[in-house]
Amino acid sequence: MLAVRVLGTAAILFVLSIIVFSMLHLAPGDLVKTLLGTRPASPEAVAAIREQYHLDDPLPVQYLRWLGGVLSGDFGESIRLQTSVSDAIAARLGLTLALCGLAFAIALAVGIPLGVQSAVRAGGVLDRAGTTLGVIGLSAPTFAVGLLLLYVFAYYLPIFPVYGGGRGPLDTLYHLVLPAVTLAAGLGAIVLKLTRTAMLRELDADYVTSARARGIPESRTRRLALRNAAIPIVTGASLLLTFLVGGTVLAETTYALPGLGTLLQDSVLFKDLAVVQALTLLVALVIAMIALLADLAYLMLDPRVRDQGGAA
Amino acid sequence: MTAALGPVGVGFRSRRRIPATIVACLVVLAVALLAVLLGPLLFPDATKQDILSSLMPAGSPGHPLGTDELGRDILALTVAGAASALVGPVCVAVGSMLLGILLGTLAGYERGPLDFAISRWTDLLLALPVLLAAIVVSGVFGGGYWTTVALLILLFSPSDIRIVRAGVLEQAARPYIEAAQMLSLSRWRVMFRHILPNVSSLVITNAMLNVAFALVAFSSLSFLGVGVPPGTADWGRQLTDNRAIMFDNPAAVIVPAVLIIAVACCVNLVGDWLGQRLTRSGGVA
Amino acid sequence: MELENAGLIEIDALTRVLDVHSLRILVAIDRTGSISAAARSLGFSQPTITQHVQRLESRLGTPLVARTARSASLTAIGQLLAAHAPRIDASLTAAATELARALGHRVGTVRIAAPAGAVVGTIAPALARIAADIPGIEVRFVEAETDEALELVRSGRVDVAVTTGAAGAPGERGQRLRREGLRSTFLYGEELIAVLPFDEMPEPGVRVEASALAHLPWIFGDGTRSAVVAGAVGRTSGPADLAVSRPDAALALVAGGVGVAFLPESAFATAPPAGVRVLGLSPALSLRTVAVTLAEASEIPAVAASLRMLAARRPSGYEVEALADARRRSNGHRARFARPIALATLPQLQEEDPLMSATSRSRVARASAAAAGVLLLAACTSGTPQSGAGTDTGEEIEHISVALPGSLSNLYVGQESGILNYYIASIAQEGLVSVDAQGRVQPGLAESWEQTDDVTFVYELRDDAEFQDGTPVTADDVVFSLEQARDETASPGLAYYLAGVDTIEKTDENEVTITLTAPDAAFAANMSSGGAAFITSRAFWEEHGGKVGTADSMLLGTGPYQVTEFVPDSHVQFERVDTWWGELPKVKSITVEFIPDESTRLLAAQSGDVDVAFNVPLAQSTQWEQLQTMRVEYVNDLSYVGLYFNTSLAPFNDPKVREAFAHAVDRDAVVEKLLRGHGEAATAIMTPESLGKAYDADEARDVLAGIPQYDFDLNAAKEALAASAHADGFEAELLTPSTGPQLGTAAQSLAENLSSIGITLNVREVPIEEWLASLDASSSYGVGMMWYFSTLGDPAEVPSYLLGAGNPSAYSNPEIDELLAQAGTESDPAARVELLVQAETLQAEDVVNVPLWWGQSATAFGNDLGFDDYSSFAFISSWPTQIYRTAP
Repeated sequence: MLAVRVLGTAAILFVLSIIVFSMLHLAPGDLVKTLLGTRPASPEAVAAIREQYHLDDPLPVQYLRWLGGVLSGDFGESIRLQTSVSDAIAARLGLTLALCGLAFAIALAVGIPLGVQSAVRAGGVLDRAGTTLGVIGLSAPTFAVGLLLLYVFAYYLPIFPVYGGGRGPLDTLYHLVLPAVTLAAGLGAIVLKLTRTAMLRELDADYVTSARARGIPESRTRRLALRNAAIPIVTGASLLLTFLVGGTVLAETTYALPGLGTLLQDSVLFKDLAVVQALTLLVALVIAMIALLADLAYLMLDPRVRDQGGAA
Repeated sequence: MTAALGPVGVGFRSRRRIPATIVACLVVLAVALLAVLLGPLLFPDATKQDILSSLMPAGSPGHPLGTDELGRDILALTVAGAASALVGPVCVAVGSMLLGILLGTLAGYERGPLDFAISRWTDLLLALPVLLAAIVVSGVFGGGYWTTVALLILLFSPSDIRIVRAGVLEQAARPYIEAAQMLSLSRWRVMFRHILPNVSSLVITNAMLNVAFALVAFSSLSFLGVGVPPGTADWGRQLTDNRAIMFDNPAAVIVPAVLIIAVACCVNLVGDWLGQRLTRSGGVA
Repeated sequence: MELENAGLIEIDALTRVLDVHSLRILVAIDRTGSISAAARSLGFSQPTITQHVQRLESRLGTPLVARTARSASLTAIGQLLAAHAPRIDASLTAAATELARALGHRVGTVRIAAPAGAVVGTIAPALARIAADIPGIEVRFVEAETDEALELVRSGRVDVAVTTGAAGAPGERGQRLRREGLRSTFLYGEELIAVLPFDEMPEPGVRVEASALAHLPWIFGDGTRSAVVAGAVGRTSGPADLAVSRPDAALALVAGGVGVAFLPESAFATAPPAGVRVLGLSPALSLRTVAVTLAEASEIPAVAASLRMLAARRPSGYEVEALADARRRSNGHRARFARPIALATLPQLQEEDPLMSATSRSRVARASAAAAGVLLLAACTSGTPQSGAGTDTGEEIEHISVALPGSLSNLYVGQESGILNYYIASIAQEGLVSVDAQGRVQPGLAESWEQTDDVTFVYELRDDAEFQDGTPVTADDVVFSLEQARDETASPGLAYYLAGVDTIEKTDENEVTITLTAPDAAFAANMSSGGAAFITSRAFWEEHGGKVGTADSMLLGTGPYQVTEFVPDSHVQFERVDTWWGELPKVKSITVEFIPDESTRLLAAQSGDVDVAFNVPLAQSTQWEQLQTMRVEYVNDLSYVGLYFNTSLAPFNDPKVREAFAHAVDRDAVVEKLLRGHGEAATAIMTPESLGKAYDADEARDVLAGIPQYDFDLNAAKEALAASAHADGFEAELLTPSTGPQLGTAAQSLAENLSSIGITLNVREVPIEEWLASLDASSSYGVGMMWYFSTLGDPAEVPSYLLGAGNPSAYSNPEIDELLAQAGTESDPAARVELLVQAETLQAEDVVNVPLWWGQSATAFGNDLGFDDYSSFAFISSWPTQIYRTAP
């Protein structure tokens, strides 16, 4: 099972790399023009640069050159940054991981308990308040939330720094609080909503009624219900993570964080092939792993699924 | 509600009364709908520029909400912009939902190679950089409004597919489905007549979420040449365009932002309530 | 008694060791905070000073100067001594002046020795000028040929020796001179002219090869410079050769058909006799005339003033045709001096306060020089430097924080050449020359340079220049850096500037010669850090395999600040070093933060985190102006925004269509409403500042307004469209870059106007990379927005790009090409502008480009900071040196 999964993932990565390569080629913009700027380019200059980056080779050859490099462990070089792709990514990986991790943690820590409570006391004050806040959190554009947080917590009450990634682990964490909260606002709202919906469903189920009827303490019943609600929550959470990976760009831009989001954005616009490929594949790998983990979680949480033959 | 096999929730409370908040939301949505339908008729010249009246603040004579840099009246733009702002995202949410239902159900029910293929397809879509997709679409297809809608449907579909799949997976293990299969009901009937209603609450919830996300996505893609061109009457576009004049005429930014949030909120609240009702009245999700 | 005697003896011995010179050195170190800066302020080289101090310390047996890695300060003993210096200095000066008066001398004597041949052209005019402008100086003159003159200087019997040598030799000679404690100051260069009988070469032409004349008899001797030419082409003496000792004799002989002579330009005070042809040499040979003084003597105000007058010599008399149309001496020929002393008043005698310290005296000199400078600069009002608010407290500034409105991925301008990259790279790197606040070329790493012919530039490098890691700057490094800059694969962003360069060579120890393939009047400024010259060390480049400017390698330059940290997309850190040849700047460390989001940047400023913010968005200008802690300054930034058409695409190949567009643009409304008044409606492609070398602000605008204009007139637009082949209107698309929102709003305004005459213009906002890619004659967009940032403000830069070969409009006009080519070689600024105006007039008639506005930039400064000379050219050379702390 696992082997098939792994093969499948490898196949995806391969297909993805071809798709990204083609798309980058189709995208408007011209690497040579971007390097030369608004200066007239002599044909010799253009030819020299095209030669340097093998842009005149037929497309399959260019692709295979890249593929060959990757298979031997060399992800190539960033044309824009003039460093190796692995260095470029490694330099930013920590920050983005920390940001995502922090945001995810905050979202879960706030969303799940609130979701459970809202479901339990459906219609109550907490439910209403939580839902409203949640809805606002996820429908407000990220930059608006970011700006609001900055004004309140970095300017009027100067608790947090206005921008930047900080230097040193503790300082970095300090700098990441506001961005993480910005991201967590939307995420947490989704988690809350999903948890609430799922819990509501479970709490309505037979077994809960019968458990209650049998006098099993409420807390235990709830825990049972939560376990069953876990599957959709896990699905949702895994989805969140995948959105998170792509969604850090906005937070990074607002808070001037040098993370992977901005790296990807700049590299796509610059048509810096090696970086775009490496990042996309990295993201795909992470997503595939998350999906795998989610499916494994189903197996663990739901015996029926286990019996049915397990995850695909 | 015929032949929907499955246990009827015992805690069934039939509350016909619609809560006040939901009524309020419905009113807001109705007004929005009116704006969508009538806006272009009421303010056909909303995008007409009048550079001499540039940047008048809210409360100026003739311009209750002020004007933007090129002298366009904010109120007119906002009302006229409802259509562009709302139709697209709704289409995206609906389209994504349909795709999700189709592919998700197939994946969750059929399992095997089909599930494998569909799941890997969603993995692929999720890994694709949105930015790249957007600029390629903009470059190759010209980046118009409906092209953007199609692009966003494609990019939003993985979430629906996954959610539906998970729900279906969970349902398919239940006794009533076993029973249906033993009755040799055609797979399509089982999938769409029996399982689907029971995952509907999840789907609808997500669709509502998607409306909100799509609203924002439209405007955030605008600087890439996709979506609506600058100067269009469209809440998301106005939000992006007028960030620069945020301090000269705050209304130009606050009004579209509040509207986006308000509509998204209402849609979500109504969606939740609908989902709840669907859950409670018979369908076990 | 013995003890007392011993004590007295000791003091006696000490007084012998202490001399005024040493004291002056100590004072300078105290004032400037470092040995190299002290050396510079006194006019010596750093090793000289260091040696002197060491000698003094060993003689006295006690340390006087405490040296750290970056600075130097006086020990307690050193300070003790330094405290006495001013009074001693003053006493000596008083004694000297009293003596001078008693002896009946006028104050300030300069003794000059020069060859006879230099009297007519150089010495006489210089003396006249000295007598007229600086009456306090008495000049003595003695004729002496080069070697004798040098000996006189060495022995101290004259102050200045004017010597002439062939252009090839001076480097070595320079080295030798320096070793002997002499200093040579470049005065001027001149070409050697061949004078031959008319019959020998009746065919037309302006230049001749010296070797082609080898078969003829040559006239040698002191009256000519034929020996130099003979040496250069390897011609040995022939039997028919003659020798004369006077130039007019040589000319007469040539007129008589007797032979050929080679004379310097200055020999032609009047037109040559009939029957004589004067031709330039090919390849050109030139002579350098230098003034040699004792290193210490150049400090004497009278001597320095005389040097300046000598250098100001202009070629007089007959203009040799070969040279007249190909070359004009530019300001760059004048050597730059350590202090603009000539315009400062000579030290007053009785009025001078004897207690005035060295610091305030130099301040007075600087202030008066600055005052004189400002008067001189009154002509150039548009580029007028504004000084920051408040007076300079002279304090050291520990740290400043700069907010950049974008992100840098690489520090090397060759790799990423956006305007922001220039601003940042110029903090740490410099070029051969620098650009001052008026856009004029000033010395940089090259202390002097000359253009020996219309395609050859010879740069004499400073001998004390160092890289920030302490290694000396050699001509090899310069040649290497420039060669890398012109390689498109190593420096794609800079290669264009050096496309016209033929060879770059080290021609001497401290000399680099650059030849072009064709004359280019704009080339001189290109060798600055506003152009293509970012000098780095070869060792550094090779150590990093050519990957400079990255997070690991960073930059190595010669500027006053070194890059100590670079995190792409985050920040750059700079620290002050003392290896720079200029005066030590006040700011010690700089952090440049990349904050692309404008709201975040404003917030950072409001929180007080920012000292300097570049390119404040014009739309936010009111908010920034309202900040309590910062002020905003606006300056014309040499940028141009306009419409351009692709004349190869329908319907834009129809001139009437283009005319319709031109009439549909309301420039004034755009500037007033969309740019909030921070910009100027453009009447031409060239900006008024770029005309600064020829015209002042008002004149420039008049000149440019003379180009055909298209007023905002929708009726005229309608008529034009009706007269075109597309009278029913059409639809077109226009791209605007997302980093320039004002272009987008301007385009929307245009679209609105066009819709009223039946043209639908769809404005699409795209990322800047996509927009850049569309700036090509082969793109499919018929109309586009042009947005050009010029760093050097050369008037021909933008017109060449927009109208010359390979322009984005697919526009080919041979007349314009011809005009541009002529402008390229024309070195007289006014004539150049005239040619370019003609070119613009032609294009305006064809309506290929429609100028919209000349841009302004806004920079925000903290209220406690001042900035000297804030102008359009402020940020392309080491600008942090202009920052000072103001009084609160």
